[in-house]
Amino acid sequence: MMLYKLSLANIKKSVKDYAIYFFTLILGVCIFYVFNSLDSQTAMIDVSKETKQIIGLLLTVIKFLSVFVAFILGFLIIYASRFLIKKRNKEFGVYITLGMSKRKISTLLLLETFIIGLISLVVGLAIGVLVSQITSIFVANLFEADMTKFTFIFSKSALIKTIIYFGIIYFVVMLFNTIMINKCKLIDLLQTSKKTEKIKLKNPILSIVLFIISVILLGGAYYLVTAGFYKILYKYDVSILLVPIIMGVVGTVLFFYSVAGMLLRIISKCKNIYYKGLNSFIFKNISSKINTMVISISIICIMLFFTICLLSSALSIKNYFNDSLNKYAPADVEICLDYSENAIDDIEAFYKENGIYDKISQLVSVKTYEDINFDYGKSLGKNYEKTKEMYPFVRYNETVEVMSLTDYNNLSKIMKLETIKLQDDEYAIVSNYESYLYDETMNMNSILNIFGYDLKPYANKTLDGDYWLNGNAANLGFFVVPDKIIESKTYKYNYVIVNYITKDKEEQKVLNEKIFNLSYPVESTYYTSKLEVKDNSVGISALVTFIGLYLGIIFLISSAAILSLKELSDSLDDKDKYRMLRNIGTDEAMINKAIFKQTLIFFLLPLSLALIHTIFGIKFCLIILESIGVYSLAKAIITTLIIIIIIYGGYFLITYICNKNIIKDRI
Amino acid sequence: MNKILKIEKIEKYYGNKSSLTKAINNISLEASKGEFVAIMGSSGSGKTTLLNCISTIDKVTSGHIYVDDIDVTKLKGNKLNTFRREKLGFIFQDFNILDTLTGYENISLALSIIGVPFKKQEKRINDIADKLGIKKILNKYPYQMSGGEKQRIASARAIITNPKIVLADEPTGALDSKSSKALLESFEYLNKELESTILMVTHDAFTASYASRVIFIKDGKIFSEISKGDRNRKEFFNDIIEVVTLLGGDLNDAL
Repeated sequence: MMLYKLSLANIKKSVKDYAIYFFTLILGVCIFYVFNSLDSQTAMIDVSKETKQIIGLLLTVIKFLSVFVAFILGFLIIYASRFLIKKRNKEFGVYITLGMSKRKISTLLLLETFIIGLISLVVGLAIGVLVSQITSIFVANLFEADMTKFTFIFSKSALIKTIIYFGIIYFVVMLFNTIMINKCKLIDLLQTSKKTEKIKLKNPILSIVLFIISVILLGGAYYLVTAGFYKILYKYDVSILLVPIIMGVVGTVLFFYSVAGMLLRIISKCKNIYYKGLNSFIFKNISSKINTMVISISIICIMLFFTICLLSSALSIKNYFNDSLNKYAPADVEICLDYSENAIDDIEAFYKENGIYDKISQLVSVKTYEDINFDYGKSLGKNYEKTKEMYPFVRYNETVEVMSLTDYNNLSKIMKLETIKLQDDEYAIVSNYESYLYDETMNMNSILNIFGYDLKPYANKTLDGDYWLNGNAANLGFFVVPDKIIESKTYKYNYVIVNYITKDKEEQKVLNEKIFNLSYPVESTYYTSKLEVKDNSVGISALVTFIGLYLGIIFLISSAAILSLKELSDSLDDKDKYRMLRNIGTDEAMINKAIFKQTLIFFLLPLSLALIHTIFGIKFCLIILESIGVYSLAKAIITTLIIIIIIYGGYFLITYICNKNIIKDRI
Repeated sequence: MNKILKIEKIEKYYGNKSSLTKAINNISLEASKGEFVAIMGSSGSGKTTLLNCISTIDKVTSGHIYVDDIDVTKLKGNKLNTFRREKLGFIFQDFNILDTLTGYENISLALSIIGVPFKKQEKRINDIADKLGIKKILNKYPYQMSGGEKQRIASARAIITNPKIVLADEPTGALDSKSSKALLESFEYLNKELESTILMVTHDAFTASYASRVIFIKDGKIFSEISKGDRNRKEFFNDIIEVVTLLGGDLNDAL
């Protein structure tokens, strides 16, 4: 009973100091619940079968991710509670001298962790339930579904899952606390605050050398993931990516190992800055702080870097899919009919016969041909050797589709492409994926032999587009040739592209079904529709966005929380220093300014390097994302920065305010 | 005229009506420019409270304290801070120097917070370091210094701003006898050569014997006062001991 009262009193007393701990716990619980309650959030929205499948996949992914996230949060909470225990060493020392056994102290801590855990769970879940009401709107929006009516969303399974996961985390925390208490010695408990701080001074020459090495390593890593990336890519060996990653990690660690010494050296040379106000004090304090936490600050920097890349890539994919749908899937439905003996000759008549022609507003039928001798390798013309050297594993002996000029110009009407004219001895190439390879072919003025005719490029640039409805750019290339070249040849594929009169989703679905069933008897028929493409791309974008947001926000919280905790636990030790400053007559305003500056620099340092990493990391992301057709991350980066400013900035503000409160002397 | 410090009938009460503690009970005293005054008393006699009131760390209940003709009991907020850093210099028992800064930086801090540009700082710091013989330890960190060295850095910091009065609270309290002696000799130098006014609180008779005047406080009141006059330190020390014996109580352990 006595212990219970004591632990309650302890918590009450230190609520202010525990603010960051509570904030982190509550935020963790809340986010954990919100993401895990996705099943009930999506249960109410009306979505297609394809989207349902994607949601199912998303739920599975989140299930596994949650285990990973639970590990991160677990480490974070253990780290945080270690700080809090350290802070209370003296208190425990007093308990022990008063005759309290270590077991009793462990029990006391157990109780405290239990109470704090309970409160944070209840508050976090309550906030989580409220937040999930708002996010459900966001989810509906993400899946492009209509929220017809507002329903209160509550996920029992997410609730139970959150309680179990955090229960385990708190249990591990209790275990760690007990071990920590049992290991420490009374003398250390009582004397922690009295020791004179030894300044970790690093050899300035060593610092400079290491700093230069770190800059070289980082520069190398930056080069490898951007300008040098194609060299890696062409080798088709993903493991080679480890090189810039390791270089980046080592460079980051060395950077933080040496930066404090470096900066201090530079700044102390600028005497009019260094010896102004409390600057010398601030710089020395920060540098000794950074020197004691090189590894954690490096981890934070790398986590922030990941967060920014993850969030902006995830968000860009969402933006991109919304924009690109109209570009890459401009018609309602498309069927591909292979050539066969019983192929339908006149598709229009066929549809008329089956009574769906009057539903159609536009119909285009184009045929493509293949010359067995004209394969991908040959089609690259003079650019073949170079391409093969760069991409050795591409199947160069696959034949390339060829289309007549008339068909192409017909196609361009419905697919919204550029119409062209060709001379009798000219060819054109249509491509929207890695089209620079063909650009090069045309630039080199390659004469190509197609169906026995020598043809020359009609221009030096490929035409942008595709004959197939798609969610993204995926056309490696097909050729357009004068009509007479393919006259009397047998076609290989017949593509039928249709626009309906109706714009209604449900009616279109019925029609799609009908058209597909009608065409089915023909051998190996492919079929796609705008609706399907949309569902797929929406699903994929939602999937990626969710995972990105989930991990990104957890990373962000973790790094900000670690910084806050370190800063706060340090400021407890610094309390004495600020008392001394007051004693020699320093203004309160000056002290607050010093605290502000110190906290700001401390928060900005890992973020700045992370941002520099990001400049190159994003370029790398773009190279990857370009393959699916995302060309700009600007919008997504702005959104990401807003998220970071809110969460990271929030942590900064809380830290600064708590810091001020801790340091405010009560004489 | 030349009174740097003038204290008029100050009182300091702690607690409430039901249990009132008179930490300072009607004390008046004066210190002239260039004087070295020691205040002696046992623990709980009110000597530290007196020093805190003068240094504006604490507020008096009634009465006035004039430092350089400014009534410090009337000062508030930022004016108080400005007053404290421009007119006063402090030396504390536990040194109060910052572990993260070198000796030089510790001293310069006192100048930089009153806005002295670094070019002027350098000269002044080197000057004072010469005089106090601390040039060699200027670039050392506190953890590399002995207690006496730390306290001399603190002394340098206290007088670098040319304060009207230096307030020292048990400056030898944490020092061994050898360092104490060295520090007190520095004080003597500051007082004689640089004409610093020093007000020192101590319960150690040996430390007090370096002063030119010793004021004894008991139970919040001035008990007695003796001046060194023309006597040498040895004789003055014996006189102090006599008063201490008379005072009785705790101060006896100072012997």
